[in-house]
Amino acid sequence: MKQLWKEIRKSKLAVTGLLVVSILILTAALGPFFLHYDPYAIDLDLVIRHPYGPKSPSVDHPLGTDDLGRDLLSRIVYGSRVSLQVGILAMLIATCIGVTLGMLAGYFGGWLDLIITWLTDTAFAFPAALLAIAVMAIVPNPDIFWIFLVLGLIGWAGIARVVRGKVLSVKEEEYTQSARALGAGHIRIMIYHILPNCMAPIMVSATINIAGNILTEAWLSFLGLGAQPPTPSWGLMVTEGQAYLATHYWMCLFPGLAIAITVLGWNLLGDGLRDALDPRLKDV
Amino acid sequence: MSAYLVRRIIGVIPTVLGIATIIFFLMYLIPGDPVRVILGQHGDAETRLRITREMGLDQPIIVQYGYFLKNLATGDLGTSYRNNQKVADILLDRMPATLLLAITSVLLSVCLGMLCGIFAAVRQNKIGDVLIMILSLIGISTPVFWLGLLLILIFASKGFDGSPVLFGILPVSGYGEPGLDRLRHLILPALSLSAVSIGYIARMTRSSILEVIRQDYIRTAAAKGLPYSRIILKHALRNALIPVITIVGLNFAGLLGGAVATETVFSWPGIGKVVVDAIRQLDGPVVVGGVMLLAFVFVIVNLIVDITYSVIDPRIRLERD
Repeated sequence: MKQLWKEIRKSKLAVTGLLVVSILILTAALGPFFLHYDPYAIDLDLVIRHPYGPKSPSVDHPLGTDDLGRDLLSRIVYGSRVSLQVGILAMLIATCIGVTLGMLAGYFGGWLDLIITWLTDTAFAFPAALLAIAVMAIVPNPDIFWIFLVLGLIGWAGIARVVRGKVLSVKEEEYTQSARALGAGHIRIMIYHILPNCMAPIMVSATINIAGNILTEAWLSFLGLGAQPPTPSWGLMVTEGQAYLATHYWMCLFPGLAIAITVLGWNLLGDGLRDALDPRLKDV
Repeated sequence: MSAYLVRRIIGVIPTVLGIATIIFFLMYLIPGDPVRVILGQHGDAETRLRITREMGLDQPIIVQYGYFLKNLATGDLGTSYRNNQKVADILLDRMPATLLLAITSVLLSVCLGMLCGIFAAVRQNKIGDVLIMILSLIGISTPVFWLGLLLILIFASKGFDGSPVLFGILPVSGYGEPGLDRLRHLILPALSLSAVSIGYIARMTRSSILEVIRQDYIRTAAAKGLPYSRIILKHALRNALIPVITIVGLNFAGLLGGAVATETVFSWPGIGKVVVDAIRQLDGPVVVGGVMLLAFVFVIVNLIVDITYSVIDPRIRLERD
């Protein structure tokens, strides 16, 4: 862990990413305690207020209000909880499936490897975004729960492939063989000897997976296939602002900016981790 | 070569079958009553039964699955719940618009992406390189639909009084008349759709060239005194191309998904727009048919990508033969 921190500190990318991601997590965790407005509170006296500026000199609503008079800052801060939840939960599902399948395929080889590799290749050939649309269109009440389930069940292929490759090389290492010679069982070898050595690529894949999940959630919610009103989901907020684009741009601008910054942060962290953990790519 | 082609084409069948199977069972497993969607709240028990029979919904699941596959093989995607039109006809009608948008975006992203990537690789770690890499990361991280709205706001929006918000020189949405007008309508959707791919392709081109540039044959070429531009464009680029093509293929899925959002934002009358409209109208067959068609296009594109590899790099074809 100490070693990891040392490597991360060397890369400007990783540090920037880590900073953005930390701020986001802090915002999601603590932000709501500092807000004056309920993100669901409708106030028809305050419909579509300008952000803080010459037209409405008030610090009350620094990002303005939406068409129902709800404070945009509050909604965006609460929205960070929604997007983090989806991003991380879906990542956990995908990582569990991916790591398990990748380990089994790489460790045991043979027909199991053939089947899992075929499965992975098929999942890769599958346009995941389209499948997500199909599923979300079919489920009776699309909401956040379905989104992270669907994203989790779709996103494992990349992780499985990376883990399989890594296991193939690790299982021939001397420490694995000595564990085997000492009589350790398959499961013990996989968990205690192989898994720790696969952590680097798993962490990189998982981080980038989170970025993708957040983007897909925003996109599904934008199409009306994800979070439902009045949930403060960023994608949904962009849809709600779409009708007011020409006259009240901030309803679209700020939620979208929040998505872009969040995804950028996770991508930066993922890239930085890869540079830090994979020495082969360092000079490239 | 022909043996390789045949094997690759046959290899596509299980993938397509897998996609169809998953979508069919999803439809079956997840609750929802199509007869109710067609009839709405009305309809007596008799009509209900008749329609259930006509649609074959009273058959066991395995029989339904068989019919589904058989219809699929003959290109029959069912009938729309809403207006009794053939789904295949609806989709074919919209196909040209989606293809126009997708192909323009692919061309745009390949040209711009590779250009940026080569430029960044040549000026590694200089200001231009850093700038391009940051920009491409931003491109990758920006949601397509939001970028589309931003572009509309900047280049198309007009206020209530008709005066432009910023520039207001391009149409806000729609398909336009054939010719120059179509082109004007195409600019913003194509730009917003290709932003993500431009980012990915630029990054991949850069790292791929940087990897190749360290090889011996490049040093040889340089030692022979060939001009730098020739070394990069002829010797390095050709060998750096394979990972770039992979990214183009993989990105195509994102592009098709993005097309759904872009077409919605810009009211572009393609398949993505039809699918989203159908979702809002609970028109199941159109949604499933549209998704199947886009998935099929994706599989075909990846097949073409795989074949392109073997043309560029004969080793791939020989390895498996």
